[in-house]
Amino acid sequence: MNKKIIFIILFLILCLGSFLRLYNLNNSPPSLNWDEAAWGYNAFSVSQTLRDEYGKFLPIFTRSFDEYKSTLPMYLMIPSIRLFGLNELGVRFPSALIGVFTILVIYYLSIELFKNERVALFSAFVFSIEPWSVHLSRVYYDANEAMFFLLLGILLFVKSLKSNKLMIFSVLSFVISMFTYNADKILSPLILLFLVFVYKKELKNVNRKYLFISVCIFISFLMLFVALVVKGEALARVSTTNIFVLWKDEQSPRLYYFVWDLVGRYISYFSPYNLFLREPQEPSTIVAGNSIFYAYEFIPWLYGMYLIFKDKYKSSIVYLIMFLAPIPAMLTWNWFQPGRVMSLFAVYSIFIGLGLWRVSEFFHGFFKKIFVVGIVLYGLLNAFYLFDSINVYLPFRDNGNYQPGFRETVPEVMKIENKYDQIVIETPQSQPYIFYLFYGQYSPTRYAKELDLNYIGTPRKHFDFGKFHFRKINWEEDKKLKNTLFVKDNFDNIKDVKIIDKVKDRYGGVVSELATAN
Amino acid sequence: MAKIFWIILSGWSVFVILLIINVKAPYTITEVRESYTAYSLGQTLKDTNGKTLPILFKADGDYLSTFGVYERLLPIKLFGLNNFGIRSAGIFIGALTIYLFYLFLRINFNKIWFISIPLILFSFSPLFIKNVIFDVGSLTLLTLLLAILTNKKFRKLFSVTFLIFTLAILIFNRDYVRDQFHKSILYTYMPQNYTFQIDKRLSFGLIYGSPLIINNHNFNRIVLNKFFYATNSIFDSFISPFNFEKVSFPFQSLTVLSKDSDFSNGLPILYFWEIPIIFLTFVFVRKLPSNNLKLAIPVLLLVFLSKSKLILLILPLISICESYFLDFIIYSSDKYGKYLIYPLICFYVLNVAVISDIFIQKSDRWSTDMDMVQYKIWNMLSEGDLKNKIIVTDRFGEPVFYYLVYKKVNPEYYFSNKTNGAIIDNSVQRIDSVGNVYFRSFNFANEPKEKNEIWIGVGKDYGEKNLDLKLVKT
Repeated sequence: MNKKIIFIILFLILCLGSFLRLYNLNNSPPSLNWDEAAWGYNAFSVSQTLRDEYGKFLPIFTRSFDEYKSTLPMYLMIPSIRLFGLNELGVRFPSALIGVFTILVIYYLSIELFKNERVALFSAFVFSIEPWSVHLSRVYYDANEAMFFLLLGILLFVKSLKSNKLMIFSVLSFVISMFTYNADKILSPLILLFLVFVYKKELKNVNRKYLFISVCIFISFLMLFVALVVKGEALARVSTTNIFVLWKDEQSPRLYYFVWDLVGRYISYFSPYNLFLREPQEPSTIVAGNSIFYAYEFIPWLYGMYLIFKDKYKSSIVYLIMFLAPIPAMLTWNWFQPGRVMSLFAVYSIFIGLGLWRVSEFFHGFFKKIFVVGIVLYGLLNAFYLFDSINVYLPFRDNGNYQPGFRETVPEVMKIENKYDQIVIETPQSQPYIFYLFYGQYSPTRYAKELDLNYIGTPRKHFDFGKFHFRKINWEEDKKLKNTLFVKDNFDNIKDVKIIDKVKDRYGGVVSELATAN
Repeated sequence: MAKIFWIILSGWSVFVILLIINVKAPYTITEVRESYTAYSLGQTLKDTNGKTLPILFKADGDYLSTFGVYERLLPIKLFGLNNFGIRSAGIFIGALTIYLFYLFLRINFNKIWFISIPLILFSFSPLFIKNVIFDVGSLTLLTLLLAILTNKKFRKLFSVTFLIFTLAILIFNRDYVRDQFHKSILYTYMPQNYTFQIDKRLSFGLIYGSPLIINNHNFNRIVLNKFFYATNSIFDSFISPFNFEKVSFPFQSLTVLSKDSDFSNGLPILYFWEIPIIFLTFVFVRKLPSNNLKLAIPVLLLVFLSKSKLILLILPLISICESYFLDFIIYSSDKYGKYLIYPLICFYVLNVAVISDIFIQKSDRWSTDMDMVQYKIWNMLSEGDLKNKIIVTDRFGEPVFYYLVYKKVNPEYYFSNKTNGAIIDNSVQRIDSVGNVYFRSFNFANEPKEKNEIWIGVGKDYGEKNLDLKLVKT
């Protein structure tokens, strides 16, 4: 195939993928979730004071909600927040951009695996428009970045066998992936070790200098990781999400049911119904009206998997990712969490590209062109449907999944906050303080002075800071408080209250009321 | 070889009889309909619609299994309209099915491994046990299929009989043919009405604004149209049988299954380790003797066309392929393979024990809400309660047949005292009452009430406080 044509097609695919990922980031998903707000505010804080919200200097993991988030998302957000401001676009832009770059990685990885540009173009095309890859680029997901660096690491590793310098960058990519997301803490080192094992003959020919530097980098970061594990930061999230909570069930024999649970979770990531038909159930992974993949991709997916198993292609990396990727996800209590197996889905995209190409090879001449054009057009129709789902349907239907109300309420509160000595906020949402910091663009310096680390405790039990108090309003007592602003979803059936403002969302619904005592 | 067969059959029969005696599961809607129809035929030679010894049994927009009804006739006549009477019909048919499968294996395989192992896997499969106990009508299809595969004379005779029977149905009962067609996957390919779904999606853009509405032109229509929805439906239909959670993990996967349907049946029909092996079925199926391989394809097609409701028909194939897999695992290594046999046996016995435990002890987790509620309602009411006027809501599905079976109502009484309701769409005949038991939805606060009445409904039906209510919980 002519290189110029390949370049043009790839460019068009990138444009399509960019458009789907970047368009209307401010409004869809409809508001930030907790993690996005936390990363965003910590990025804002680090960019101004070099410290996170808890005052830690340039952290590797940030305490956040006591699950010690990875900080790569935070550091990536700093330039975009500087450029676009502390808002949804500033927070989400890096993830969306990485999603676009991943299209390129998929393309080049497919070239390395199959030595076939057509397969690579099909894979890149399907990846660019798939619901999971578009949506999980738009919602800030650290797993998205981890997947990018993992795939990049694999690509650079394979390429480094010819161009040895790339070995250093490959190892760095694996390490970054490992530090970015919990599932990749297991997956990345395993895949790296496997690659070393598979390519051990070729590695003997790699320049010793680069090999030595790469090994040193890996060991250094591994030691740092172990130190952070011992400190309790690196694996903090594991304690709340692991599957061993199910061991407490009363069913007998417990081991049998436990193994049944484990196997079920593992197999769920291969279940066609979950992949091609059912909407995922985890709130921030749902793309309203869409499944993970498109239904028409089922047959090429099956066929691509069959071709890989027939060992027509030397693709042991693909096997490895396919069988290893669900293991970290299998060890959590969620039955099917798409965000934890993004590397597996990337491999599925490659299967689908391979399957589509192989089916197209059954046709010849004019019919082949008709088939390819037909597939592309049908894919574009699905992408169009996805665009409508993301920009029209999802913001309304799944509004409740994205901690609604703060985006509209907090700016109104901040306009009048200096008139009051204290502000009492009652909300059903968890971690409300982070939204007040974020949407209130609260000065990190001021917050650092007002935050009492001893008072909030470990794990954090109190979210109050400065004049902001987050608790249930007990009106009989609270109405006696002087110069106090109260914020609640509504004050219906409450006497002696003076409503100052009713805050509405863009659909005209009242999301909160600001009030004082009469 | 015959010895092995008799050992397996004896063990299986004892196992199933013990299961039937001990299982406390409520009757399913299929069971109550077929059982009461069989009971009525046994007493009066008429079905519940008043027809004498019919071939087709029309029921609430559907048809009962003719086999299911007639096969229950004798056990119910002998043992009564109780748990054993209703569920023991499958013992004989199940034993016959095992025998026919044994014959099939004897014809096609010489090795004792490929006769005994598939037979064991087949006999103790949850799917087979489930059909033996709860759905003998579907089981009979498998029996007939195996009969065709094992006997040339029967095959010829059956072909002629089946052809005549099919022609008769086509000519005389178009409703039946139409209903079966609607249930098949072929119906997916017919033009259907997507208007509601499309209008719902369009409405979001029209009400809340959309970047795809430009100068009053709604570009959403490029995808929000019947062609796009119908094409997606066709692809969806290929995927819908592959619901691993429903077939093997319904207990555990409630976060994904619970939103599919309120009435999903939660009993696993495959062991969890069978799912990956079934993928390998498509590899091992090439090893089948070629004349039977040709039969495997139409059977697979039939399962696919029925949207996998007839998955039981491929259970023999699955069992054979699993035995190929086990043969591969154990005999691929001369040194270590034999050491795997005993752990595998122990593991398999554990599987069967756990499934039995699920059948017997955990019916509240896998029974449908509707069946469980009906079971509790009719077991809650005593003989004395039945003398009162009883009004039962039909929000729990069709309660009539549950009442007739649980309370063992005499068919003569049923025919004399039933009141038919209006004929609704698709010629569905509802029954308003049988004697002093009424079946309808109600609003308790607005109903005229008299003494000695029992009202059974959901909590929302009751608007008044301080009433003596017996609440039914699932």
